[in-house]
Amino acid sequence: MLKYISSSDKKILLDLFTERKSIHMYYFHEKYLFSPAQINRFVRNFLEEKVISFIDYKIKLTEHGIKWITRNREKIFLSSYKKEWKKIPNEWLVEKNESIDDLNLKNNYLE
Amino acid sequence: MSEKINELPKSSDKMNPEDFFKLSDLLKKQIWLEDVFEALIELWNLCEYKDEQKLMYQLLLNFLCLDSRKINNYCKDISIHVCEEWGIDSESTKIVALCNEERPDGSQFLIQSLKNKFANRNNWTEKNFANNLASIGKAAYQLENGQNLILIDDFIGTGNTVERKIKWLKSKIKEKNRCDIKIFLVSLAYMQDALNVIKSLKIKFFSPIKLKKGISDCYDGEILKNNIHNMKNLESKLNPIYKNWRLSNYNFGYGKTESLFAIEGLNVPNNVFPIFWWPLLIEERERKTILKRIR
Repeated sequence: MLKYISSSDKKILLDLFTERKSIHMYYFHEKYLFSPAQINRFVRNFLEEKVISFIDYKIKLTEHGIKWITRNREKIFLSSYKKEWKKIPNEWLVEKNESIDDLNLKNNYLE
Repeated sequence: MSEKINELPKSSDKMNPEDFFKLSDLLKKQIWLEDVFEALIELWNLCEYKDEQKLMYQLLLNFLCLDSRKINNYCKDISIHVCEEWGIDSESTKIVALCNEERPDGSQFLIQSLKNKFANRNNWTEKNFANNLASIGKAAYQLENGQNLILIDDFIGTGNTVERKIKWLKSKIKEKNRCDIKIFLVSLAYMQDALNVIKSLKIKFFSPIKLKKGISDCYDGEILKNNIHNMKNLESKLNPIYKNWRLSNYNFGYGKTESLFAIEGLNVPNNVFPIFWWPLLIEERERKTILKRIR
């Protein structure tokens, strides 16, 4: 499945998920001023993943798309979703008042 | 004269549905334009008349911009042609980029993409490939009697550069008293008008992509006349000079070749219509361009 979902993708997905009907691609330009390039990229990427259907410039979520969004809604829509790369491993954490010298880093890493 | 149009708003503003769908259709066929969308809008807005926009739309639809996947496939075709059609084996064969001595160019890119297509063929090694014609021609030990020299270029526009380089190579071969060296020429793409020049060189030639002139070979009668007029009008909006380049040398592409060809991410050939890459408008106003060429 897609590795990167842009903020414009998220808005389009949310509208499609909420409305559950075919929406004309021009609607997303009118409503959000997304460029044809943004909307075309969305259509290409999500059509390939069978998340949407695209007929006569109209976009609609497929059954698979609805299930996929339902399953991944936290990852897709919630910006507070915990980002793995932001987690700091415990062994790298120090007490607030602890200095670098106290950790004996010199002995371990710098010699 | 066709109907005059209002300037299209940038993508930060609302477009009329007609332009929106036109550009959407274009982007569907030419995905690479997504990445230069702002430049595409500038180009669209540079057109004052509907007919000019129509011409731009058609030229961009017909434009061939190769991505790495397509290049990979064409390179496979080239390797098959060299080995199976021409029956050339690795012994005494050098595949040489038609590059100038000191400046990197598209021929070096092509040879880099091409060489691993020979990996599964008998006895071909890296030694069969050279990235510089000048070093081959100048060093006596590089030219051997009975050798096959396959010269590689990414694009042949007028054919004049290829002609000049092959004549130079032949003179070097003669100078060094080498005999029975066979020269072959391969390019990824070529303009069909260059074929006469290539034929006059009397060497075997292969290229998987033949290109027609973007306007002169695609229209006739009144439409041709109008489109030439429209392109002239558009080119009149470009600054006549850019860093010592004179636009007059590049009107309708260098040598009036009217090319619609580029390799994604590389310097665009100067044979391409300058409206797609010339970076200055009159009064030296900078513009975003859908294709780039370094000076």
